Amino acid sequence: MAEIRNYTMNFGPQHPAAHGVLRLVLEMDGEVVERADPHVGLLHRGTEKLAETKPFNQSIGYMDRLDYVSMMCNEHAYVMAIEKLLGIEVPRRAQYIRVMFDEITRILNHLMWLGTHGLDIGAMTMFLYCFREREDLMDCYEAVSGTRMHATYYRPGGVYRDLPGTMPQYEVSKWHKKKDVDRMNEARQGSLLDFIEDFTRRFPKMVDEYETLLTDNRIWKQRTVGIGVVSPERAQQLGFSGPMLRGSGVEWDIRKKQPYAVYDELFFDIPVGVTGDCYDRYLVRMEELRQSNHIIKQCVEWLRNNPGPVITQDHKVAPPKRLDMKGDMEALIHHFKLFTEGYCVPEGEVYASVEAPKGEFGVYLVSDGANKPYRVKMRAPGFAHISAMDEMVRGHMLADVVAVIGTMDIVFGEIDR
Amino acid sequence: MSKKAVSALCEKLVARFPDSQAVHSAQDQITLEVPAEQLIETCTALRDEKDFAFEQLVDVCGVDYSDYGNVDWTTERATGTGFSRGRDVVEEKTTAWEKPRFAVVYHLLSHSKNQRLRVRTFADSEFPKVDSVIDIWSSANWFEREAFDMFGIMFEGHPDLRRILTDYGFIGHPLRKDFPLSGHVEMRYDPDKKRVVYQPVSIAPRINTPRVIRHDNRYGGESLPEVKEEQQGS
Amino acid sequence: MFELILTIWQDAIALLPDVLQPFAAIISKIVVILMPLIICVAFLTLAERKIIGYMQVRIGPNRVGPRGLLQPFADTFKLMFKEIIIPSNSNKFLFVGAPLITFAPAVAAWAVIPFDEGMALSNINAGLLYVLAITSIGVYGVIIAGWASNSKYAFLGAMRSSAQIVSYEIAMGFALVGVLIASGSLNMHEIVVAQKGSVLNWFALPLFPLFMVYFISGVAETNRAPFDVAEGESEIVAGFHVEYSGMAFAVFFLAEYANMILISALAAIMFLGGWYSPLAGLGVVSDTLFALPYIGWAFDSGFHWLFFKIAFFLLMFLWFRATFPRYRYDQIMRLGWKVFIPITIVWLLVAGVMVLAEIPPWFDKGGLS
Repeated sequence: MAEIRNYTMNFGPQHPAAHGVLRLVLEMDGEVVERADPHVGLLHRGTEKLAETKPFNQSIGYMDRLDYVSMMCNEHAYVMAIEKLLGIEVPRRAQYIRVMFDEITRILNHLMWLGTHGLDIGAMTMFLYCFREREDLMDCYEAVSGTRMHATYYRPGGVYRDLPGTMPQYEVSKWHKKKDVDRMNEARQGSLLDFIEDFTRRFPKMVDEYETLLTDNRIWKQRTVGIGVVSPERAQQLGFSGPMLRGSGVEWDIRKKQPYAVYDELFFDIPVGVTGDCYDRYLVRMEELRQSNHIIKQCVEWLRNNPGPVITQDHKVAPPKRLDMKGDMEALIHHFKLFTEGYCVPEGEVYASVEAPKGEFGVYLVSDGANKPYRVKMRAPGFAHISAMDEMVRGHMLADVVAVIGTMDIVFGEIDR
Repeated sequence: MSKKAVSALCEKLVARFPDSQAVHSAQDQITLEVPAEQLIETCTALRDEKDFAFEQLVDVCGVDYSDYGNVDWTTERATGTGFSRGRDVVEEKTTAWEKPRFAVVYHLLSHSKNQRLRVRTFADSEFPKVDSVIDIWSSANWFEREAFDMFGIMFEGHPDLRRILTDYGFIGHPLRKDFPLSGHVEMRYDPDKKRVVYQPVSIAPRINTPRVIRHDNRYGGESLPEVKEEQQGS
Repeated sequence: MFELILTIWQDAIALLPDVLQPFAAIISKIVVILMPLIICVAFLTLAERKIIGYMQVRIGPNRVGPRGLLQPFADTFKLMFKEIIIPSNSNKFLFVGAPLITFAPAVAAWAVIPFDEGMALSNINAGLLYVLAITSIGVYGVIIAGWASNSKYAFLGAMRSSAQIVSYEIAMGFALVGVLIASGSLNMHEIVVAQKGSVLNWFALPLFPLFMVYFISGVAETNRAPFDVAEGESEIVAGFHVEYSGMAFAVFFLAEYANMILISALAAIMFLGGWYSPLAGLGVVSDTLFALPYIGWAFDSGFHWLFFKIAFFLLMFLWFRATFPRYRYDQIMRLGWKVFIPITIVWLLVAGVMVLAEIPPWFDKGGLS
């Protein structure tokens, strides 16, 4: 009799469910996965090396490109690390703006996750529903920073500029009639804050809509309940964070436990799962969508009533106003120095972490006193999650591998850096 | 962590690990410097003992200190004759680094005690080698592979120390300071051989913004320029 | 108009030598059935993209022709001019042959489908058996394609598909046995005639569980969502046809959609009274409606009612696809073996009892005489 061997299968790097460029070498016994060996690094761009050769501010844009679905949260960790080393104060309004955009980013990320997770498991419609709402939030990004994704909006000392008073609007074209355009622009008549407030009113209904399609769907439950179970102890051991950790029942959220920015002034709950399977993580993230919406509401309320500066007045770190430069010699020099040489950060090391939508995103920064970081290490939550791939899919079927990839919320920008 | 909690943890660490050096930084973060040979012992204690209870290893990363304090431009001591400094790169050392070249930095987190700790251990430049903590925290697996890939630090006891982020067949350790930013080789399609070939890199290295160290009086204290210059002289 | 064409056609055939006359008659009938079928398939792809598009708050194709109506032709041209890439180390003969093996049965089964009273290519007595036999050949194409592609993804897809089709064939066969018991005939034409009368006479009512099982098995049989594990977009990329391109792929595509229409037609014929109007047999109401000038015929039984019923089932196919996540392979097996087959067996007993008890209005006509 011929010897029966497992066969290996290359899942990716080109694969519709590989979420980018995951190459997963699967050792399979029929449909059952015996061993999974993820090969990452196909999107490695050497961000850490690049950051070492650039002044501090020039690397903010790289942070957007790490986890390219939760852009501003990455920036937040990086600017927080610089701020901690510099020891500068961030204006309260800037902190509220940051928190608001962190939560917008969280919704953006979770919508992307929900859409792709659904698509992986075959619920194609989810993807398009989620992208409908993402579009509105992308417009918020655009209104505030000029770009839809890679914002580079957070700066050490605050945010680049205050919230705008108008929203970008749709224009009549060959494909959009006047009537449609008017309907689409209805919510965009006021300021950005009006638009966001309108969104927070609409959004809970949208989440209900997603939940009708999935939460009680028998097939969805069959595909996620009991799949990729991780016990709380293993989750801690494996370095899980964010919804992956909470899904396993560990009550841990940096926003609550080690609050940064103004999270200690806001009211929100952190959902925690019980069994640690894909379905629990799904429920946790769905609840986080609602909680984020709640936080955004509070931020909008505060921002409406509290105008003020949004970036530090310390012009060694933040550029002076353009208008001041026209008449003030010192402002001109500050501007020149800042944009040619940058600022020197005092010698030291710091680790700053935020609760990014995927988990703990940390930046470890070593400075030797120069105008460029000596060493930057980005701690990406996805990196720890995907390293547990083997453990999570062993003994499951091929279709479950896809579900597990989906539930990990993998984005290769941050894993490969 | 509050200031009080930080100093309390600091005291506990000093008392428990007399051979190590606990540094309490201005940012309310604690660094515990551990001699390489005591790493496993210390880490096991940090995970298991009730006072510490660091259940999670958040991050492992390598640092290469060989270039520490080096600048491209003369800054403080530059005179009016320093016009040509933009043309010729002058390497200058401002801070002396006396410790070994490589360091491995572990970031620990305790969910139950809600505290963080940074553990650092050093490895020399000839053959950097550190014991693997994979038996203490499973998450060390890939982080150590990454540190190996990027710095060439060997982790003894790691079951599967392969390259992780760089290409299959990559040569060198890219985050070492002596590795050029544009690398050593580049890849292109060779129409004659009908395949992709590697060739020495054709981009000349270039510095857009020179690296400078300026001492800002606002941050005061020990890092004033005079003090630094004295250090250099000695 | 219709009569005129018929006369010309008959005259034209009469001009041929006597030996060729039956062939010519059959071939012309085949053309009359196949051409509209192919056009239906083409527009079904468009309808699918449009309908799912609207379900997913988007527009669907709208560039080629008015409202995208010419999109199927654009697709066809594109696929025709694309290269058929044959993977190295594949079995070329089987690789090219497999799509044909899939497509041929999907088309051949139409031979026994009655479109209207007396309108069928061949009204054979073993019609139901013929359909069962022919449709089960289709899976060989899938298996051969998966094997001949020399790709692990294709191979997995083929294995999944064969296991799935074998399991669902049983449930489907049992469901049809129910129809056989109820109508007392294997002849498709007679099965429809047995449902003559009002809506209440349709077999969908007494055989409701079988109807459901049949249609769901049909969805599984055609590898459509949520049972599309053989293609399994996100798992095994495109399953058995991952290596196919150009026209070879188009033939698989045609077969899939032709099968969808076939399953819908069979469901309409066996459970929803084929060409009979739902408004028939309602006494005065029917009589007045049918007597209406100009539009009366639309309410009366006829081919158009079969068409509407098929369209209804096709809409269900598309609706499923837009709504459900995909089953896992073992869950499909469980559903087939542990749910559908027991249901059908139990309901066969119930149907038998109903027939013996001659329960009106379905079984009082002496079905099993």
